[in-house]
Amino acid sequence: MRHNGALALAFHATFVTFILAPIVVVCAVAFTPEGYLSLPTKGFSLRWFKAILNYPEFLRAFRDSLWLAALSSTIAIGLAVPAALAIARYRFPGREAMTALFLSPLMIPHVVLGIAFLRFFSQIGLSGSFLGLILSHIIVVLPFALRLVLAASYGIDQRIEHAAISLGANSFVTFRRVTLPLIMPGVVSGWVLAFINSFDEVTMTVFIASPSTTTLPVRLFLYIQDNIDPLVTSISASLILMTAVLMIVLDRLFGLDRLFLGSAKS
Amino acid sequence: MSYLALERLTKAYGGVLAVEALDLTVARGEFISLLGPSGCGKTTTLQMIAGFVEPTSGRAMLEGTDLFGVRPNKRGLGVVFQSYALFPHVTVAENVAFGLEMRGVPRAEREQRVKQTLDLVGLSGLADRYPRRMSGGQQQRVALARALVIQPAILLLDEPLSNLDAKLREEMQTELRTIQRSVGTTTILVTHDQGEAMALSDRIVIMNKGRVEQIARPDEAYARPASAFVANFLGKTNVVSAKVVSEGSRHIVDIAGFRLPVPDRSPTGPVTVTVRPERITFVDDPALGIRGCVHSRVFQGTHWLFHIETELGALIVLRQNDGAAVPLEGENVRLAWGENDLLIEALGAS
Amino acid sequence: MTTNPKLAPLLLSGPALLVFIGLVLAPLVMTALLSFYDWGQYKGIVAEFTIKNWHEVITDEYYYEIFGRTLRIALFVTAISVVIGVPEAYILNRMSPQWRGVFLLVVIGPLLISVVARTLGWALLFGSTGLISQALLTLGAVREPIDLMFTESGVVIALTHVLVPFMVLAVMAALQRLNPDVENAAMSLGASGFTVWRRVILPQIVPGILSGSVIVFALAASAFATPAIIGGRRLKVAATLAYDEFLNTLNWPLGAAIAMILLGALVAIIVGSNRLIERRYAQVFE
Ligand SMILES: Nc1ncnc2c1ncn2[C@@H]1O[C@H](COP(=O)(O)OP(=O)(O)OP(=O)(O)O)[C@@H](O)[C@H]1O
Ligand SMILES: [Mg+2]
Repeated sequence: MRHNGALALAFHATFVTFILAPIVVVCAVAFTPEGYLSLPTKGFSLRWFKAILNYPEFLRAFRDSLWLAALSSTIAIGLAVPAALAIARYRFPGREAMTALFLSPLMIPHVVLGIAFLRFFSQIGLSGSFLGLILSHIIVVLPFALRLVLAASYGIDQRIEHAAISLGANSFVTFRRVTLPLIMPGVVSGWVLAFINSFDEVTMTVFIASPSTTTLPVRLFLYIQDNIDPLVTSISASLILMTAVLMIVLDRLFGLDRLFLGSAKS
Repeated sequence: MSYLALERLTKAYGGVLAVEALDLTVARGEFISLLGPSGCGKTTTLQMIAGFVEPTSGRAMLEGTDLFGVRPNKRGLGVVFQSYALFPHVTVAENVAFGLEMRGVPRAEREQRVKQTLDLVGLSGLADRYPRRMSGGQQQRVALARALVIQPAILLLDEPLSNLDAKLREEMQTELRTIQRSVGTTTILVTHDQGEAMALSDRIVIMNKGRVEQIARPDEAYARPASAFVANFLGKTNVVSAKVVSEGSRHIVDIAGFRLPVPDRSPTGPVTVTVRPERITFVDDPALGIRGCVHSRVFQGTHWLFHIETELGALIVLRQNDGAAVPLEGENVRLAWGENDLLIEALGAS
Repeated sequence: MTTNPKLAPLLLSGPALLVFIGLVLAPLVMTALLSFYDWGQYKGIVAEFTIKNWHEVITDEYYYEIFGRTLRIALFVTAISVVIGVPEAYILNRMSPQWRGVFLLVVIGPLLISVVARTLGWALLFGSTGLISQALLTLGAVREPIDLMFTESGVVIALTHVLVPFMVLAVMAALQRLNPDVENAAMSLGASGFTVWRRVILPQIVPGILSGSVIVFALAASAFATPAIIGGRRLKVAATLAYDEFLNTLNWPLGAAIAMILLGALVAIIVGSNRLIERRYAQVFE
């Protein structure tokens, strides 16, 4: 009785259909040869993929999104690694409160964060700037980075570091030669998760982006709000395909379940 | 002159004293074991020497300099952890070379010393392996090599053999002793295995609840345990209640009617008496000893182990297997011992 | 360890702490203050203390309706996620490792895909000329074309799709903590499959279901992109309302008050239910 029965498999098939349906539809419609939204019943065409190239604002937004995600997740991981070591290693007053603060962006609705940053940046003169986007994205992705680095830091045997110290290594050398290599899987997966979350963020960013500095999801969102045409499906399909490739790579590297199950328990 | 001196070394966790006023001097080249039950403070003591636990009070003097004034990474002590604590992300050779690198030893000399040390612990062929892909005994040797290669002032070993199976443990004990003898490194070993402590050490420190019960040579501690706790910890033993009376100028111990003279410094009144099972003999003389009945006997190869019911309770008796006939189960016997075989303590002394 | 143990954690966490104090606490405090500022069509934001924004949001029925809708949508999404997510997690957990790997990719993977792209899919499926309507018409299940665009049902369906992976994850995590022998033990004692599920498995994964529900509820109640695309301008929820006040009406103080209410309500619900879960199920969590 350890295998799934027929009823269970039927349920599973329905569930998977539900999950895949909108994704498959977007990808299918993207290949339409027609000038309007339709399923490509009369042959496939790459016309709408080629059309993306005629919209430099989408290409620019894509490039900016990549930069934003790369910079903010790198800075976030740079802040998260020492913070995670402090939390995992030391008992000090305010430790719990500090951890809660670092994880709080997971609990604060992104609309609220967007509003707060809009107000804040307009007060300090950072409205609509790329720097503002980076700062705000550091905040929203840091919890993801922190959780994975924390899990890795809790996992290492401190006596391995003691061994390095007893052999003459100072704090910095111990960190670089022993601790960092040991938490590296957590650091890399934390960075990747931070990158993806920054790249996909739309709710908060829509408040603080400006027409000149914006991200791909925000531009896509604003476009869709006005009209839905095959162009947005081809852009979305490209995003989906890129994510799918990334996903398979991640699964091979870390195991997707570990990446998520590790981060699902806070 | 002592090489290492621990002076009233104390560690308190909150209100709990993990180690209490420990005094110990170690001579250069000596092999010392810290022995005691789980939680008695052995690891804490070792960690204070190594520098990973901050002592609450007390000093540790190494050749006249205060160790606690030196950072843990500058103490130059070799530590072998129970879990081995090998660096999992680098090879065996790189593990062993780490300490030399920290000391700025040039590559050529480093490689040569790593090779030498791996030869010493019998791992010549495995220099390029990763620790994960080695057996427990091999990992243990790597840990030892890594600690030895820096020619440490003291080698600190925290239950290095406890993760190994019985047979391998015995092999490694012999090897450890041989290596320590040949290198001559002053060594402090933590263990809760009295056999290991007695087999390896020049002296053993028996600890209980953070306090030292006795520091002595193994044979001395076994033969003349300072307390019933030590006697019990160092091997199977019998503890019975009795009383000591003074008759004229002499003190007599009366164990269930079997009376023997004892030294005058023995406490009088109700006492507990400890007597080792191998010191109890079967006697025929009905005027001597106490009565008992063989409850069970177990053959152990070199010995017979008896459980004898007596009015003092069940006593265990070990008898060398010299080929002679031994009592059967259910047989009535008489048990006796000499006055030098007894350890007498006033009731409630420990 | 070689540095002062009192100072080390401060030095290590200091940079992140400064960033968070400067970029989380400060903006939130400023937004809270903003909600007490005055605003007029022509005068703009005026730094004068007033509670009129709060008063307006709390008394006006228009806002009641929107907050009510937000709550309703979030509750429906959470309930449906439990009903379909829990069995799915259980089914996934029983699969052989290879199949589980494949289907985890399918079920959890969409979390990595942009919400905008996923919602776009539903926008294509909904609508009177969309695939769902056409399929139902062809099957004869409905006479008239049905249009789920700009309806609450549409928002609930799309949001469930976006959020149900979180439920599956939370329940999977709980299931993986179970000792598989317990299930076998129950079966050896004569329990049938369903009884095992109800009496042995379910009680142990309730904490997982509850924490999954808290996540799904919080994200559904504060969702923005999906209700904005599927619900459009007509079917507003709290998040899209705040967006309109900020970027269309430009009444920032009122938008700030709405944001603060949303934040306060969600933090209260999350913290409160986490407390409850922890207290009630402390033994299960060990
Ligand atoms: N970090 C700590 N905080 C509080 N108490 C501690 C800590 N480390 C050790 N103790 C306590 O100090 C006492 C001594 O511990 P220690 O680890 O030195 O024992 P041990 O003799 O090495 O035992 P074992 O044979 O189990 O390793 C124990 O009662 C233990 O509970
Ligand atoms: Mg110990």
